[in-house]
Amino acid sequence: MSRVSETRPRRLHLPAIALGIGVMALANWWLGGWITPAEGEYRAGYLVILVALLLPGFLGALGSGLVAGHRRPTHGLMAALGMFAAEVIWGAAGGDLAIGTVVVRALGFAGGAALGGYAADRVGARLRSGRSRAGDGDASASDRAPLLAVDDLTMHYRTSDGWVSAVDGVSFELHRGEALGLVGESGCGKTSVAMSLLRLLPENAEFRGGSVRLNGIDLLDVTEDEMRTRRWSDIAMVFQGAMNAWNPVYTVYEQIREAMDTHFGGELAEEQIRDRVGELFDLVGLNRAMVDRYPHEFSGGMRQRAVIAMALSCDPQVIIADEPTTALDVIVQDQILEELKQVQTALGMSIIYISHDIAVIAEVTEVMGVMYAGRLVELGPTAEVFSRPRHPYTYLLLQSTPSVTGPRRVLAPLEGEPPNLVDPPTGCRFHPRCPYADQRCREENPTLEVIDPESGYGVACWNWTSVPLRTRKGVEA
Amino acid sequence: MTRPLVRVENLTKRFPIARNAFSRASEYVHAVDGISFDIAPGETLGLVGESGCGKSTTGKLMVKLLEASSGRIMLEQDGEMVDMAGITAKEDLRRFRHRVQMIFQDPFESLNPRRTVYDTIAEPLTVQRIGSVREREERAMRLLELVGLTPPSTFLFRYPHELSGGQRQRIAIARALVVDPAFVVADEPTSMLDVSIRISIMDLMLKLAEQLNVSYLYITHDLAVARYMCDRIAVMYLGKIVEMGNTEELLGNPQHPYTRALLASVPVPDPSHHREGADIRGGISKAINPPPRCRFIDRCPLAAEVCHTSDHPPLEVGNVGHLVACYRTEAVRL
Amino acid sequence: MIRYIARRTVQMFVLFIIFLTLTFLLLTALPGDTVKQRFATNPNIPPEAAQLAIERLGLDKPLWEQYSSYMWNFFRGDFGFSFLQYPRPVSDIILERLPRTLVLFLTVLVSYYILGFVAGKFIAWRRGRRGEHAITIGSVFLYTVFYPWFALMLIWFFAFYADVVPINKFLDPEEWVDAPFSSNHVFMVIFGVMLVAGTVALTLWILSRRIRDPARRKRTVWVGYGALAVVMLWFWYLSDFGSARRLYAGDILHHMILPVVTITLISFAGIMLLTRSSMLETMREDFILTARAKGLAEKTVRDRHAARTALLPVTTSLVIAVATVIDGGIITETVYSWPGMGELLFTSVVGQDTNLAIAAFSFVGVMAMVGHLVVDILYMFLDPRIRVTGE
Repeated sequence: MSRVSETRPRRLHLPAIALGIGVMALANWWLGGWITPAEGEYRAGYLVILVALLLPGFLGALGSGLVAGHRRPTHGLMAALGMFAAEVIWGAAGGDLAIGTVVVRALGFAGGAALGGYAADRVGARLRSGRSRAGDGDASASDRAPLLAVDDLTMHYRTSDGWVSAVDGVSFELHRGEALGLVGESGCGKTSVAMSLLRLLPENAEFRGGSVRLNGIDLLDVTEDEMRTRRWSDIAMVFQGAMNAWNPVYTVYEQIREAMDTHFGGELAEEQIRDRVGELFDLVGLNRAMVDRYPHEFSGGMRQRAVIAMALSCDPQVIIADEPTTALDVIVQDQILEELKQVQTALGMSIIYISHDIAVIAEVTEVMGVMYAGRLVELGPTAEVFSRPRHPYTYLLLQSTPSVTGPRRVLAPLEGEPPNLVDPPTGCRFHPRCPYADQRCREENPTLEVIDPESGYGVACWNWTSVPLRTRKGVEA
Repeated sequence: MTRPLVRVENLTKRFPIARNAFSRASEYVHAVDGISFDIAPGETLGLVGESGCGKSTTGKLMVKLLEASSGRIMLEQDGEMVDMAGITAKEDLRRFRHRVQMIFQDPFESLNPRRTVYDTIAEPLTVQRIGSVREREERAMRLLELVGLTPPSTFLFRYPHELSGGQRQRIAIARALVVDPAFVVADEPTSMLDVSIRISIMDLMLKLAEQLNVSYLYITHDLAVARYMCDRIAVMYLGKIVEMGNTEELLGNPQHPYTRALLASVPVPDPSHHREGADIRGGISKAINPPPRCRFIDRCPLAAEVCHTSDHPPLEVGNVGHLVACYRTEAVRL
Repeated sequence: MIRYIARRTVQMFVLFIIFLTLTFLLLTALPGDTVKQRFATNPNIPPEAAQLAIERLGLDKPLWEQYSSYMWNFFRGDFGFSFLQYPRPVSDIILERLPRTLVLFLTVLVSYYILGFVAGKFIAWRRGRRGEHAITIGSVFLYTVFYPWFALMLIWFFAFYADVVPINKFLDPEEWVDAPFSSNHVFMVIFGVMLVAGTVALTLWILSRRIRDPARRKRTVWVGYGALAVVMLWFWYLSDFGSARRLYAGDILHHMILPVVTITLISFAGIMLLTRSSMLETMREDFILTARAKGLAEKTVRDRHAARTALLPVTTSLVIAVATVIDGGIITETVYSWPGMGELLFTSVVGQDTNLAIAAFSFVGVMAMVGHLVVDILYMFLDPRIRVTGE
């Protein structure tokens, strides 16, 4: 799959044009009689006019170019064009000026504006390249540097009952081409983590600390406008409700196209977008002819495939798959997971899977983290977490997961229920349900401690050495 | 074999697809199409299949939340098998509800938010006119204790919104069991619950089945859950039971290509386990006026001439110890 | 699509016959009748003459015969004549009243729907902020205020105190003294222009749905609307037909301003609250989250995703509103001395002018049914999920 090249968008920017026209009007007003030559002094007058109007034109275009945002510097030229047109119209319709005067005045404005626009372009381009160099520099520094580094992320929700400590000191890293899983029960904060990465939290959410660094840039630090350009083009998402991720009144093509329009600007021709959406449909195993259908004409599984296609449409560096198969039947779930795995291998994609289903995480990830009550309690290579869980919660969760393979066994239930996060337990948040808890667990909060530097295996438990080895059979029937 | 508690014969439910007010429906969804099974006293039968296969419709037919289009639902009553499919008299229905109860999927929807736990649990007793107010309260307390909500007095006058999902499902179980039913239909009772709570609810249901000698029809989409809960499993596909047998027998040696695909698709909580993908084509459709041949034919990797020319295969004991509805079981084995 | 419309038309026809029959029976069942009042109980008219009149009107025949001859005449386009305004034919009176009502109330309908929708969209999006409370309180106050009082206050302020609009009536008699056209003719022209422009705009929008490229589609639609505007300008300013009538049409439109503003102000709160709740529901949907995650600007998410989808239930409520367009609202027509269908329905029923009443009611019925069909067709284009059944 080809990456779509990043060139500058060229589209009308109304504020820029409006500003240009405004400057022109002001100049006309202030310079009034001075730039309208009296009878008989045309020859000298024209030159005066031309020179007199270069400066307002220049300043107007520079200003409007910068107002239009450094992302779209060509709007300086747009402003010049706007001024030119406005002047011609104003002169022709309003004032009873000689045609020569009108043309010269328009040329004066436009000349100045062209120079100003060019200047704005240069300034904008410099600003932009400076920024993107900063990003690229970090990325190319080392392949071993993580693509995404979440550090000590802490986020609270304001509710009528008080502050809900939804995410508390979560840290993990995602490397290029890696599939990472976050597993946990509902309310454990896994979806809140995902939404934090995209900064798509409801209004009552508040970051209390930490950072989310993508290629070294802290996403919690950038402006909202900047964040908007990074959504989907840097981090895309496959949402939980495959059924509801599509707006029912637009075709699937229109909705994919909308994302591409936003991030590639207007420079992709219709045919290019169509080709690309077709390619993406091929990639996820959908018929190209379906692109112009409405979402309700797709089955659940097809809709989720199309969601994956949409997630890939803007060449994201990271895809977050939040319960990508939860609403689907088991056969379709299997097909979708297979599809995601293939896409990941084919494109070298980095994926974060979020699921309550530990079996799904087992199948698709290389690294997994276990979340409980807003905290990451265990993090390590998936195979190792399953074969030798260190945290009592992970251990008990695995012991209480039924399976269709292996010997039939009696499952050990996890007693109690997850805590209320308005008033979480002191110390380790799992201690009220933990059979290995002691005084220290009730008082001190264990942080994620790396116990194996080789694999980076980490566990947040004071007594992880007491957790027994996991038997394949569980408790024998 | 012991006498069955429940015997279902040729149970069928068709839903008309309404066209408009001026013309009669000519198309029907064959949601449940001539299924038959027995459930012994104290036994749990699992009904497994994908969404739209008719398993929930079957459950609703069994408790008469829906009227069957045809077929018989026999229930053992005072030593005799009585057909329940046709009863309409109020008194008969009341007696029927005394013997048969249901537990629903969503504990947030199935409890009335304006009624206390006591109101909810005691309601079947009130309807059945059992006991005095005091006795009902005592009974409700005992049930709460039985479902693990202790001490019961602290729960008795709470409202559902004050309870967690797991606690609500325990209330729903208590309500179903308060009239001492012989047979309970449980429609995905744990699918809305979190993993850590799921097992305790399933254990509770198993314990109560043993203590109170209740039979369950356990409806689920999750084969792993069915394996944990059920003595026998029936696999449904588009309104037909395609395979039925003892749990371990069936899961260890699946015969129907659909069962095999289903089994092959279940993710395994073990990264070291390598799983073959499912051999199946296309997606599930709807059984709208289906032709009489095998329902699975369009997705079947083994479909042969005989499948196209014959009626839907009957559910028969093949070469294995359980029932299969497939002409091509020999091919499966290869 | 064609088949759907054909089927609906047949259904509508059957429904209409039932409607007409019931109206006929209901009105003839009313105790007392005009003819008896006018002739039989009038001491100045000899009983034989009264009897003769009744016989000539066929009112002595059995009900069944009256009914069948009425129906026969009705479908030949003969609605009889009015008793109250004897001997004007009913069709004449209705043709005079209908355009007045349609022009006024269609404008009102469009304006309060648009205002309600935009306001609803705005307050839903800015939920919990100060703007929402101000708009909600203000509009609900207007919604619940005693309407005739409010209308009189507006008339006092704008027409009397500020004197920017005429006080009432639908035209200024002084300007029409030597007018070459009747007011009815001008109303017809205005209505015709509204109808043609509306249909063209709607058709343009519907046809543009076929263009796949969104940018091109948008361009096509705007070029189309621009062309429509140019044609309108040409019609009113340059064409002989239009420019001759422009001043008279302008006078009528000038008289329309106050009633339109009044009814819009008192009615938009209903649509606004409907849009608001519909928007709030839509905003909870996953596809709104998806749209945000795609990096779309907030305005795009609001207009293209939330509001467009929230429009569906609002369109449904249009069905009910269409009926009120025809019957007009007696209060409005009385307060503004705007004799239209509402006033006609009222006087004809009170005056027991059976012919006029049945015909007026049947027009309301027909228009309501046609409006219903139009809304249903519109809905099919708004909601792609409906289209499948339409084919």
